[in-house]
Amino acid sequence: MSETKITSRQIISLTAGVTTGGSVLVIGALIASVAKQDAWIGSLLTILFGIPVIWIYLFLGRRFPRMNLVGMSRELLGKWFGTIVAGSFLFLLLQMSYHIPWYMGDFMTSRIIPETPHYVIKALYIAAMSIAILYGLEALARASEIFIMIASVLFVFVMVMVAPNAKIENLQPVLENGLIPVLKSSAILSCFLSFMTISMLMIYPAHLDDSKEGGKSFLKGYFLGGGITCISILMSVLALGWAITANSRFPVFRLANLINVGIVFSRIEIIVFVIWVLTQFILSTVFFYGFIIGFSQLLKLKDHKRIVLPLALILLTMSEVVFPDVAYQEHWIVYTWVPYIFTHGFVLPVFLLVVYWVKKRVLKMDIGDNQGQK
Amino acid sequence: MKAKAIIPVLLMMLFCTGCWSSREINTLAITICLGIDKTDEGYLITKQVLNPTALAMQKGSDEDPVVLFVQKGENLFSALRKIATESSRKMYNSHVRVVVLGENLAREGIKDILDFFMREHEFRTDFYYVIAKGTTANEVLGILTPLESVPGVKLYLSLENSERYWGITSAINSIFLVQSILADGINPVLPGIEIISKAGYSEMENSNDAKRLQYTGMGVFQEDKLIGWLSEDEAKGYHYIIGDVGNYVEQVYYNGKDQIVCEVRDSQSKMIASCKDDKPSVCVKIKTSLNIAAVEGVLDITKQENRKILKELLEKRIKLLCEKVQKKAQQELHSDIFGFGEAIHRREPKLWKKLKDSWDTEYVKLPVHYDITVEIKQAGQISKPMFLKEGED
Repeated sequence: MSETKITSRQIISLTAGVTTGGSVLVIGALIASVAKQDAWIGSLLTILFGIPVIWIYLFLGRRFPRMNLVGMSRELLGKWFGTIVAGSFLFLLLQMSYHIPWYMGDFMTSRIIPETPHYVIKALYIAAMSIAILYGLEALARASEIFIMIASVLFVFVMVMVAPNAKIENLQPVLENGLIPVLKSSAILSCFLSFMTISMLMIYPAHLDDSKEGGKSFLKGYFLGGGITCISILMSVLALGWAITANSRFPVFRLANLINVGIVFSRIEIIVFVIWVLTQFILSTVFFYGFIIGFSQLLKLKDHKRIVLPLALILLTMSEVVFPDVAYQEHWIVYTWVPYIFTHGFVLPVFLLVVYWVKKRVLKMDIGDNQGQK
Repeated sequence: MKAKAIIPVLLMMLFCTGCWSSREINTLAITICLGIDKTDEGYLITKQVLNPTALAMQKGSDEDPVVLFVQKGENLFSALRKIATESSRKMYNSHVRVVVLGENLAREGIKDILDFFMREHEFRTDFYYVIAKGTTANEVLGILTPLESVPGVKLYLSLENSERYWGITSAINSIFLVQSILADGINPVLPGIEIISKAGYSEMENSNDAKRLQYTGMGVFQEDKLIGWLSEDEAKGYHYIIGDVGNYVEQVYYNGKDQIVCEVRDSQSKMIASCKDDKPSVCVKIKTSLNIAAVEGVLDITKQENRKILKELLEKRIKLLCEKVQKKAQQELHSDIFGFGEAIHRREPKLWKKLKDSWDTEYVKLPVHYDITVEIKQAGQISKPMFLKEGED
């Protein structure tokens, strides 16, 4: 379908960005409020529970090595029903692409530059996203390689610097309230970690030469991103205690506030912001790219780059009106986003998988492309 | 084509001229210290702001190194903002080092204040809280300090010093304070500061210099309300129990006359909660290593048996300090400042569930045991006491 090819190493960095970006700065609060001092167990379990989910994604990818999710659903579910399902999935991608700029504006204006209007920050951010997509997927993938490297190094640095503040007492007693809140928290975290990677199905495997190698990279990227999120939650609870973590809007930012090693390494919490922006940028651009590719596929456009700028304007407007206030956003995240992404990130691929098996085994139809299974 | 491309680039430059919210340093008034008192209508804010012109002068200038701003308001935020009516510069709060709370305010509760400090984006969490013992924060911040030209910095540094070398204060920041208010099984303490005037200081040219600020003991809280004070010795015992000990000075008497002075090198403690027939108890294990700093008298500390005696004396002394503060906290103040409740919570979560609601009454009868080991590491630059004669012992 497409001539653009990316390497499997770039799949690592893109997946890691998608996994980390949505969760690293904010999610600790939600997880800690559910699982209390066991939030770190919850996040470890999340990574484990994510593996079968990723396996489903990879399985679908390997059966249709030249398609993205839109193509798969049309192939499996038929033209009309497949288009409706794909459209619904694309709408999710579009929504995320304007949610992320909203987060960016919210964070910047509440923590860093409160006098700057939201609009300017979002406009710059969306401009960067559009430029990335206009340059093409290869440029985005290469940028993500650099971004993830910078972000990981900075992340390790911040966590080492904050380590003297960690108190093991903050984790005890382990499993005080039993396993149920822990499982609950990891179910919630999955919605921000594992299920997010469904967006990668718009890139993997269509733009990859070797989908098997790419599958390994997919998992590696997932572990890298999941590991970063998990460590950030663990350190927040270790250093801040679960109560303060649960009550902070940006727990990792508050965590980095504590850094005071020597006189030199203090007041460097802005590093956390840099990590967040870099990974967040990968996340939102992958979503936006997925939407544009899928949308132009549905509309049978020859050049997907033509619709980038008009859509960027839509993003800008939507990011301004999507959440009226923070309270609404916090409510939305828990009560709408969780079932929403669950439907598209879990139910949809499982449904596709079932349809594939039924068609292949029961109806003995010749379906899928086995080229990738060499 | 190229000429066309230049136009949007030039246009972009118009919008990229710098940070939107940039504030140059010469338009800021950097707050170094904040005092909060309770008044009938609300809060009285005292702000100590750096005076850059006076600080930049090498020799003494007529101006004071800091400027005080005092405002009243129904809440903290409005009082802080009201300062704009008398200051030419916008306040910048990210460099606050110490927040001084008036004793009246502390007795009425500090929850509402903490909420503001945790919420407002300009305040970080790395400053320390102290209580103006027996006075108001306003008075404390009105005093100029020797050595450090900025009183706020002096408050900050001497708080850290007195924690490390004298052991009567703890430097406590927002995070720790909020944690200990929130947790059920621990109550916070905050260091107290006093205004003292001693006769020895009166030779100073300025009469205001005769007043000094000194840290004295620690204020004990019940939840977020100040309920009493620990004396210096009790504060020391408190530090031994929680294991947060610096280079303290410890002295014991042998035979009632020979005074042996030691410097604590390191001291660690462990609280181990246990449970027998649903009755909790806590064992505090303290491990201290000391150096001998001075021997006033003739005890030959090089002898093995004398060292043993000395060790026992020191163990007794530390135990005495710990028991004293434990008794006061349990019987007089009824406040679990040591976190015994949290120790039980960590070790015996099931028992804690039952105890949690009635912890205030359970705590008063909680048995606490001590297991203290003392090690004497070094004896300084000489071994025997300098003036110990041969054969005399």
